[in-house]
Amino acid sequence: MASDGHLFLQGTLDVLVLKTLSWGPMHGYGIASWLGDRTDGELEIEEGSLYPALHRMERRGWIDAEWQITEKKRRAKYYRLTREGRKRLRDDAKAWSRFASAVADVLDESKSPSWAT
Amino acid sequence: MEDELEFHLQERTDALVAKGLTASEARREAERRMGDLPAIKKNLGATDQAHRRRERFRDWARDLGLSFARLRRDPGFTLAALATLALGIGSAVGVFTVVNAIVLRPLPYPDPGRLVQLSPTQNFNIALADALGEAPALEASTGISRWSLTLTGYGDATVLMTQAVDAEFFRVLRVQPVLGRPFREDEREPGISDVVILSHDFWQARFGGDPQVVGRRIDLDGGGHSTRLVIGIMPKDFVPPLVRPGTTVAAWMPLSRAADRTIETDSTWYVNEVIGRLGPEATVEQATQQIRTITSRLLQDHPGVLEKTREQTAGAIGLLDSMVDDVRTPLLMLLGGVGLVMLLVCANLANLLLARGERRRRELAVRSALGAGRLRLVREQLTDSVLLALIGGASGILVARVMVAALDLRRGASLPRAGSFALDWPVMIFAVVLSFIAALTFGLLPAIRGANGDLRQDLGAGARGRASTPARGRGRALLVAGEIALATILVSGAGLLLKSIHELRSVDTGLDPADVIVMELSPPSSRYDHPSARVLYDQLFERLRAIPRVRTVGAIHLLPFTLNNWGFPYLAEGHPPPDGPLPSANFRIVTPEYFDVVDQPLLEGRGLTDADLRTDQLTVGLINRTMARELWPDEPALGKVIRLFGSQPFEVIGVVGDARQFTLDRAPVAEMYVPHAAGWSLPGMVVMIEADDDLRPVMVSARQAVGMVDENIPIVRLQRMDEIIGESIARRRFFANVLSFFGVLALSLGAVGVFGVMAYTMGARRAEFGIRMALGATRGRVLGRAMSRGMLAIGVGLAAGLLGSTITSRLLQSLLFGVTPDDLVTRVAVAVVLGAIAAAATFIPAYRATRIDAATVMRSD
Repeated sequence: MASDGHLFLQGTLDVLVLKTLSWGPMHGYGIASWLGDRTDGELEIEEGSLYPALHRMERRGWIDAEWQITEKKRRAKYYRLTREGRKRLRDDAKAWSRFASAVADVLDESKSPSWAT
Repeated sequence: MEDELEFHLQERTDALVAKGLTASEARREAERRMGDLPAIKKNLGATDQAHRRRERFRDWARDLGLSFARLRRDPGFTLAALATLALGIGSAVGVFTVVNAIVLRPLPYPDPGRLVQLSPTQNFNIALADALGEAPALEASTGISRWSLTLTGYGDATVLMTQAVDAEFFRVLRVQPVLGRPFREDEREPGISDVVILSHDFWQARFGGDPQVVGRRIDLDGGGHSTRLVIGIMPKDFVPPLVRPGTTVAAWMPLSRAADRTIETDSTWYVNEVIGRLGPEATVEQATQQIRTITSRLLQDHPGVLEKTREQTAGAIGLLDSMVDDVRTPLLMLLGGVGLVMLLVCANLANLLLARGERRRRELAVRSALGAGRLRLVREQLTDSVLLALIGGASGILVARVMVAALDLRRGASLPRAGSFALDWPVMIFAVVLSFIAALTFGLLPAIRGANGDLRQDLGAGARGRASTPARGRGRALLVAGEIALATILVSGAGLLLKSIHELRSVDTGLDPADVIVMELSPPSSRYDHPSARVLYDQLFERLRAIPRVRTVGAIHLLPFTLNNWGFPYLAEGHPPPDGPLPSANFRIVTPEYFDVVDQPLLEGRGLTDADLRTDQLTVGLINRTMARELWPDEPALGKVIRLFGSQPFEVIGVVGDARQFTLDRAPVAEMYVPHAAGWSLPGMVVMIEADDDLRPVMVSARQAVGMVDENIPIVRLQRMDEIIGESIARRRFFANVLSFFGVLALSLGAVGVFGVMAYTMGARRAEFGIRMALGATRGRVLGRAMSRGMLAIGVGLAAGLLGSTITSRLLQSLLFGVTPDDLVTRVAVAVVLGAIAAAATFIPAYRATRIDAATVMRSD
């Protein structure tokens, strides 16, 4: 089971959470499950990272929180994207794509520098 | 937060159960995967807390920012409130500093509460001081006497102010020289009393702090020796006891007299004070009792030597009490003055804040309707008040600094212990606390009021409809009247004192100090005994007379208008010797032209001549008119013989006018003058020079003249005579200054207060004025009506204040001179000035309010 050593930057976790919530409001467990399933176990977010991130983003006003009752009659804290958060998601996603393609370019075998031996 | 994690756990457990584990296994696995639960919780908690704190801080910062903006938008209110706070707090802090430094601060010695002074108004000889010191309640006691010694050989010849003390001085004050040793008991013996201890400051200044000075013999003339061995240096911050304000002590020498002298034969009657330290169990009352008993016994044992009056004034007082006793009442008066000012400040603040609260009523009502909690609104008002308090308090401290400096307290208004009036931490804290209390008290009131109340009334009908109730109006009028009354009282006090000063200055001193220079010399007595002193002054006078623009030159041995005095007993012709001690009169040694210099008139007979200076024994002398009248009311005094000490006769050859030898406010006493000749040709004289025009170059030339005669003669004092008179009223002047300051302050506060109230009232009535004028009333009529209520309040205030000042002026009685507490001119002046200012403060807002366009007013709202 992969750990989130894969997540080099704190910002990455943020954008993942924001994207997850863009599908609709969900509680912390649901976010972590979805991310794990969606990436086939590649990204398993630990509670120790997830919840502080959620609280941080709530303070920043990117997400809102509300306690609700689940179908199993349990109390869960549901998070929801705000307008701020949506904007943030757009910007972050764009930045991430640019970053990702930049990395991909460098890792491309077909292009080599002039000084390659 | 815990619930959140718990939920997460439960969900995971369920998922694991779905994968096939048992409930308990699933739970355990879920917990394991969760990891360090407490750490997570703590982490979450920490971030939460940090975030909450940051948010709170941001809230506060925003509140303060909003407050700041609110206050800026209302500059009239803000400036008025700040000015009021700053002035009030500044005064309170300033006065507190003074009172603290003089009365509250303990004396700078170990266990200072045990120190006492014995029979403060008396003087003693050494034997008498010893006898009193035997009281069992005292564990140590010492006499103190003021001397001056002349130092030569280390730079310019200088005179050192010296205290002559016993060996027990060091035990009484529990102090030891930091270098060397204290006096020994046996150093009282005149033969071996030629030792000296120097003060730290003088040692640094004159000897550069050289430790080799201890053990060296230096040329120090006076007190029966011409050289002395330096045996010690006092610690740096040692404060000599009972020092006259404005003087410093540079050295200490032992009181000395031959061991076989008794109270009767001991001629050392120059011990000015006796201080002691109470034993561990003793009390001041016990000491007083014992001193009285001893004094009574001494009176019985030595009749004719000690006056009966000693018995009444015998006793012991705490040393601090003794030092500050005569300023206590005036200082309490100061506190009273500042109390009144604080009342004014509070009244003004209350006024301002209440008015502001009312102005904002509508705004507050709207916000309240829109959902702002009451707490929030109150908090807002409080923040405003806190901000005001902070700025006001800080400004107050600045004002206090200025006040202390402006009153020139350091130069000693002849106040005891006027050493350092530093504004130190306790005082600053006092200032801050005071400002907080003031601002909060008067911020809370309107805040709570503002957040209450029936909103409908405020919301509807606009500001116009919500006119103030009659009760409010009456309250405001009362405030105005109160402020005017308080201001009147303060200004009256100041006026009375100022008038006293003026009267003092124009007192007929019997001398004319104009154009006179005073130069006090202290030649070493070892070299300038008779007849050399005569030669010295002859030579000196010749040179002085040669200085251009010098008219007359004379000398007297004690400077008038200071507290120095020699009183000698005498026998007068035609008066039989009394049973008790002989009567005494002031005694002065003069040169012939002295009376011309100071314009002291010769009323009968003749003055002294040069011939009278050349005799080798006392033959003639002059007396003043008071003495002549006292002794020979119905006969001429000329030709009568007076016997100094009952034994040295001189003939009265002239009578001069009275001069005030002590301070300006005491009546003249009997005084006799003998020529500077024979046994009375003292080396130390005060030369007085009368000159034309600019005195400064003459002063310079005079100093040079002394140097040319003998460069080793120290000049103790060289200044104009009218300055010296000025110093003698310094204490009164200090209090006059302070009260004037408070008076002006009260005036300003009163004016500001009245202005504020009127501005608000007039502002609220603008619509009314507009309507009236639109309906045809002239501006003058409207103005008149507008001002009438205000003027009524002012009038009431003035009356109350004048009434009140009759009471408070009585408190000033001891400082008044030539002016009764009920002085009419002062009262009229005060009433006129205050009335005018208050009227102006009423007129201006009223006038402005009537200068509006009627239509505009009715439209706005």
